[in-house]
Amino acid sequence: MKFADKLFLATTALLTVIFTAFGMWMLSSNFSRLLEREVERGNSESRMFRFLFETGYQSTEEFGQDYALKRTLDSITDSVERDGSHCFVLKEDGSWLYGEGYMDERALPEAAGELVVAVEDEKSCGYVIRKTDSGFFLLSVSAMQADSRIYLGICRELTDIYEIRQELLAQYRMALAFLLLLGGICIYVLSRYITRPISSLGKTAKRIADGDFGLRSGNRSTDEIGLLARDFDRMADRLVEQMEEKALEAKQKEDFTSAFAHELKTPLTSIIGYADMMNTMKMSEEERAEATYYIFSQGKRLESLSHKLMDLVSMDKNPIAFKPVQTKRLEENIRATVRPVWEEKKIHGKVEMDKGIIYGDEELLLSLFYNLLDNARKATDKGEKGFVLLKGTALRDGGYEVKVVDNGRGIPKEEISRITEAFYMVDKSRSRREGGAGIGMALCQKIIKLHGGTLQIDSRPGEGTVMKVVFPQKDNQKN
Amino acid sequence: MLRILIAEDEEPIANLIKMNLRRAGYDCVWAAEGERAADLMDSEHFDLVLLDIMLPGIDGYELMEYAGTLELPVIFLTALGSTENKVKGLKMGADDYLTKPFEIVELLARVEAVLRRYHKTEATLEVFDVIIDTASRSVTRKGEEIPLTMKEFDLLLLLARNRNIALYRETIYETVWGGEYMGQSRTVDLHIQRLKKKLGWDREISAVYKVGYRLELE
Repeated sequence: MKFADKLFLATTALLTVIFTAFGMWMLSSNFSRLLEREVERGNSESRMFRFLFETGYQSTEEFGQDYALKRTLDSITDSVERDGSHCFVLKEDGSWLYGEGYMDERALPEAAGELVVAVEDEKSCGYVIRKTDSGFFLLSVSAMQADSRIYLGICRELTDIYEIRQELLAQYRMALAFLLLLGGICIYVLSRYITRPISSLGKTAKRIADGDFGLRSGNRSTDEIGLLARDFDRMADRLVEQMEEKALEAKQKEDFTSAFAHELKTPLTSIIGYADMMNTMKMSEEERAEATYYIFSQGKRLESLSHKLMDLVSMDKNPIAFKPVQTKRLEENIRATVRPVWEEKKIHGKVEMDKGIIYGDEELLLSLFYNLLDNARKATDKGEKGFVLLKGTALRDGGYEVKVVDNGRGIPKEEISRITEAFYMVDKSRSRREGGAGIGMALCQKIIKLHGGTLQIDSRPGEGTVMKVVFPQKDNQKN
Repeated sequence: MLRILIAEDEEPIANLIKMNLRRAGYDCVWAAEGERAADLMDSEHFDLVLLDIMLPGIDGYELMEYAGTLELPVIFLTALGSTENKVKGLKMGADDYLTKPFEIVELLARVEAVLRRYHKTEATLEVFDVIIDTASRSVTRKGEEIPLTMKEFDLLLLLARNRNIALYRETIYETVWGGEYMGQSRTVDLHIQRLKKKLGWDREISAVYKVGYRLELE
């Protein structure tokens, strides 16, 4: 059952109970007041009847009892029987002295008899309400004070007020039905309205579960459901993020594996192939020389690959010793290493580092800067106009920034985020020709990370690249 | 002469393939980039394309589609050895798929198998004065038939197709008899002896130390 339906049914049931109880209470209190008044009136009339009777009776005692009774009654009944009241007089033995006809018509003598028996012992009066085929009647009886063997009674018809009650009840039922219908519709609409965000959230969740990961509830209200929806959206965002991360990770892993297999199998194919040829074929001296050259060079390629991989792996295992490294020393070292290469390739290069200190491992830092400069040098494609620059700046917050700039071919925007992946090469054939295996930048990234630094790459295809490495001051480093 | 296009960005491997295919009597053209390979396919006639998948520029899969439209037989030659890659390559219409590193004999056998499927190999081979007719499976010398058993004929064909290449006993056994080679060297040796005697090629089929046999054609 839907929550909205539950809400609707519960509220409607409660409303029904409250309305019914309240209506009943009102009707019955109204009715009992009416009834009370009637009884009061009956009783007082009965008392008045007795009083009149007793007064009249005493004064006519000398003519015999029955005659006296008759006379007395004749003189007073007219004044008593007003406003629908009827008198009746009974003797103790059940014989009627007056009003038998009226009572008989309405099948009341039996009730009067019973009432007389009930009143007999007490001196006071009594009353009873009786329902017969002709309606409701109030009988009020009192024994004559002087002669208790005679009972004087009043009979009033109450059918009216019972009818009024029935009428009111019917009206109230109608009103209740109308009220409940109206209220029910309102509650139904309201419960739908209130629970709509919940069901819409449910639908959203279901669709997300079915694979529509981009979907969000978009609920912006500030109530609990709105908060829940927002938390739900946040949860979905996080999950999607995680999922994408995992997918990217898996893809990078797969790329790494296939690239690694490729890098390994390519030189192996040549080595095995040429060795196979030398083993199984008659070859000319020239061919043999070619084959051995390829076997050697491809073997070297494998060796360099294994070295770089070892570096990459061993850096994870051996914690580096952090020492303050003078940047001036680094500057000299780098200059000495790269100058001959630049001269040979005929490009302009400059290494300039402010006086400062980087906390880290000197060997690794040298390897990092050398790699970055080497990449920059390889990227230059403008012949004699090519230039490469390494600029070190001491930062005011105690950190140190190194920028490596070139005016080479640049890196396409969509490739920038990938160049630090192992084996990733922007231009595979060019990189190969220059002896690259696509590990250099992965190595650089790792060294920077170990030093707690950050790498930022800014590049415009055809214009050049700026690689900015920032080392934090000592306190901010991880180790 | 049959022409083969080698689309391969690694120079040492391209050279290796070229050397061996030339020895086996094919004409080879090498393209180191995808674009160059596509241009060549367009402008020149080839009987077969050997295609590397990880090529710079246009990659092997795209070239495969291109070769498909030209109805060129294609053998993928790649380091991507996963079943997924193989299935993808073959589903795209490649005739065969060879993973690196490969053995030269295997390369030659596959090249020949694909060419045979396209009826591009010559039906007859001539070695010295002996003519081998692959269609009628007969061997004649100056019009005179030399009677050979089925296995002997297969053996001769294998040697003749891999002239000047020393064949391992394993390779010979697996090609002619089929099944795993588990040191049944006597079977191979015995058949070689009989073949030598029937053809009178005592010197021409020579034993190669630690390898097997080679049909020498000087």
